[in-house]
Amino acid sequence: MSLRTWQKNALRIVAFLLVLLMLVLAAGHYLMPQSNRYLEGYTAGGILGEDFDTIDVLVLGDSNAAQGIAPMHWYDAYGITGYTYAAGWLSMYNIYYRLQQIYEEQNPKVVVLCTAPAYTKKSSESYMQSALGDIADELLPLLRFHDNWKYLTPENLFTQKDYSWRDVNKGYTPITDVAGRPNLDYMYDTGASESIPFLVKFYMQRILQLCADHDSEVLLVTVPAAVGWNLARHNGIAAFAEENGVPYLDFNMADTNPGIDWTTDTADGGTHLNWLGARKVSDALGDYLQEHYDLADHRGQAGYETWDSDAQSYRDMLPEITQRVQENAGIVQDAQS
Amino acid sequence: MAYNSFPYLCIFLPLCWAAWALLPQRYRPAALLGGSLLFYWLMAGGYTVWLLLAAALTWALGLALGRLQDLQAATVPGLEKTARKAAKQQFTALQKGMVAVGVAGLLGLLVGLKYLPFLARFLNALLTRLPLGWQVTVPSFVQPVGLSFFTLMAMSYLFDVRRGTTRPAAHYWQVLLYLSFWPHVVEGPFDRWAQVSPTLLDPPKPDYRAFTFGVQRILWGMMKKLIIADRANMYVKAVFDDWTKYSGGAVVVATLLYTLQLYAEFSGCMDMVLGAAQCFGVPLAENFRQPFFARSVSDFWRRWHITLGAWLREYLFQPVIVSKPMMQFGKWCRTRFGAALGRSLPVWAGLLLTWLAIGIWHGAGWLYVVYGLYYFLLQWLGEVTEPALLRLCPALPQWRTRRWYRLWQMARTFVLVNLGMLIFRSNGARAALEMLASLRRPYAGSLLIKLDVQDLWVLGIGALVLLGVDLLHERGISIRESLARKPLPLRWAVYCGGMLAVMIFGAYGDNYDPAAFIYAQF
Amino acid sequence: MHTIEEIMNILSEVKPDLTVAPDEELVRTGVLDSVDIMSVVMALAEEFDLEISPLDLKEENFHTANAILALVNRLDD
Repeated sequence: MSLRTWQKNALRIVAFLLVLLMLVLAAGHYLMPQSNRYLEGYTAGGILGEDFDTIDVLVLGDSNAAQGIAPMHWYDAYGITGYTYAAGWLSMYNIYYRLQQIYEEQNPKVVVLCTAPAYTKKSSESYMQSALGDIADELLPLLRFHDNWKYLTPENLFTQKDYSWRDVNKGYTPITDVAGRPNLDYMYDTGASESIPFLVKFYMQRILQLCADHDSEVLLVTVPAAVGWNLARHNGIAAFAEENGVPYLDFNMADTNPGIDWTTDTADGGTHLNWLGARKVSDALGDYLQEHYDLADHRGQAGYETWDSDAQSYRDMLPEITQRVQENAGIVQDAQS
Repeated sequence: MAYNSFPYLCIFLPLCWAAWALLPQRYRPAALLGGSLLFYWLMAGGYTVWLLLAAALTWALGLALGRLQDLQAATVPGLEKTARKAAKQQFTALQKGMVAVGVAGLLGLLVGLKYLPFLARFLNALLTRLPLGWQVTVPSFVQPVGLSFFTLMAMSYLFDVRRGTTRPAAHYWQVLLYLSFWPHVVEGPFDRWAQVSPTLLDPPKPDYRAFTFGVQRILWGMMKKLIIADRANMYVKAVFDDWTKYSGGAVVVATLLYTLQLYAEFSGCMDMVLGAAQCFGVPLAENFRQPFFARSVSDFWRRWHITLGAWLREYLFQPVIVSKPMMQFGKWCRTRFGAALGRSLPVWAGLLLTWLAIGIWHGAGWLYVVYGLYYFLLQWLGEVTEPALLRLCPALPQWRTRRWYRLWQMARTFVLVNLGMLIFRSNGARAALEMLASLRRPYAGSLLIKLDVQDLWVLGIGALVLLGVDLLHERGISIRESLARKPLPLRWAVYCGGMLAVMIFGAYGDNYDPAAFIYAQF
Repeated sequence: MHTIEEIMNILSEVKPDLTVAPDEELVRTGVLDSVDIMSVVMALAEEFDLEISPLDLKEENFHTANAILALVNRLDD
């Protein structure tokens, strides 16, 4: 069988692209960080260091979640094992692919999907650009980790990567800075409803489907954010929640607000919470989880030894964090609280 | 949809190429025109109407010019001598009138959409000096993408038809395709109708070799843009946008990096443009020829943005020089200042006009006037000091043939060009002067501004690679040709290496700012 | 018809210390730069009362004194 010239050329192009793809995948592997500590912003990567199938509640979100929801708080109070997989600018596209990876090691009963990523995107990018960029990042690790060549040395290039690092705070990052804002109403009614961009919505539905396939229940949660959240966005998410039959808990709304005091509870003037705010949100969300879902108390159980030891470390460092944030907020309290 | 964006490279270009290659030969221009209009509409939206109008005017006038010329050729030779002369004059006047209408329309479009805000501000500044209290409102609108490029190309088409060096296009879509052809509509080069129309209107068969060469050239352009230009941009932006904070070494490094950035970016963009056109078998004009091997600033401008210099030389400088008023001005100068000065003054007047045009083409603002004047002054100084230099150093003509003296000339030109770049990038004429003055103050802070040591290494190595490639080109070696003769594993290794280099060392992602093409805004 | 002497006269008028043979390369060797060429053009136009169009300002018309002579003779026709 003899091939025509154009067929030969087409074959050659395909072969070249295959070789290139193999090289891209191989190079992507070598550019992955040496430790799971640096896989993602904040401490999201620590989830890979958790013991197999120990996490019952998985929180997914962006920086608002990473600074707003402290799962160790729940373990301490109820023995609920949770992890906040969240990092700055994480999009719904990112979250979908990360959730796929997390399901390989964990089987959470409840997935808490934070809603901020439904609307946030970098102003320098169009929706199409950020979608294409994020999805390409997920499919080709080389693109996501390309800048790591700066940390490669001849010594660490071929050593086994160590992905066993564990985060005591389970993905939460305690912030002790205080930069308040006046307690003004930012959830006033303009009558508007901001619809979720088409492709983002599509990926949120894929996330719901993925959770359904793994028998996880989904809860939509909005972390308090005076900057970046409003009633129009709430209405958009509420419509999505109703459409897809999932419960939605917006901590910005008056009836569910855990008592956020914006003069003391934010680290940067209303965008992100500090530990004072995060404690309130985590309390409220913990109560809700305990009340609405059948979640086991794992404290002291076999197989949860690392959780118990991490809980001890968490309790040990808590007083200092609390004291620092209170000092910054100008709150004088006795050591007992 | 920028030339280095994912949608352009991975969706638009392959689809256009497939449509172009699969269509029967006579419908291939339709694929090009469709792709061009879609591309322009995606970039400019409603402003596309200006492009359509400019093309319509150009086409109609070109056609009319052609008809007139045919009529002249058919009737005039049969007439007797005096009538012939009169008829010829009438035809010439008619043709000149048509060209004038075209130039007025196209230039009006360019001035109206690009320079009006600047002119209004200038007028207001003058009006405030008068006790009348009048002010005009400064219009604010965005100039359509590629305006400075397609209007000049349209003018060159009319001039060429008028001069008889080219035949006019019969159909509107042909002129529209010429002006809107997507590879050159955003950042040039200024292509001539006679050069591109044969392959645009009568496309060659899809050629695997042309295709691969084109793709290779696009890859090379991507390397320049993503690895070098966008990385250098971080440093340059930090220093030039906040110039009062920096001095001495930091300004020197920022200026050098800006020169590197602009060269890598503009010539890289041209590589992507010419590469894309090559895939479709269209030979666009080269815009760069190893500019940093130039031995004088005028030599530099014959190697940098070649097609702009050529356009202005051919359609502004030379016609002005041989125009009647200029000849009269020359005569007047000769009676006033004597033969030698009388001969050179008109030439210098023409050169001044040309340099100012080069400056102002880049944008409306005093900064660009200063930029043009800077190069005019350099050229003029070089010329007037020449006799004195020859007297001081009689060995100069011999030295000029020596290698060491040529290296000195290149180094000197490089420094002068960098000073020009400093002016060009600074935030206004005053900032330029302050930055020049700040060169004398030492800079105490760290020179690692926005970039770390690894980034500077990449830039340094990148600059050396550019230099090496330019050196090979200067010696007349075609890299793609010689590479194509190598065995397949080596070739693939080079291409894969290039693509991996773009992906790994490209300055994209969360740690870098995305940077738009600089020349797309001129 | 014009003679090569006339051309040489004009050349030496524009570039006083110029000594070249009629067939010696002027442009590529850098004897005449672009400014000089324009001065020569102006001198030619004036001396011989020529109408020079921009199309005639091609480099090959100025390569040698003989080339310039050919240009002048063509234009004077």
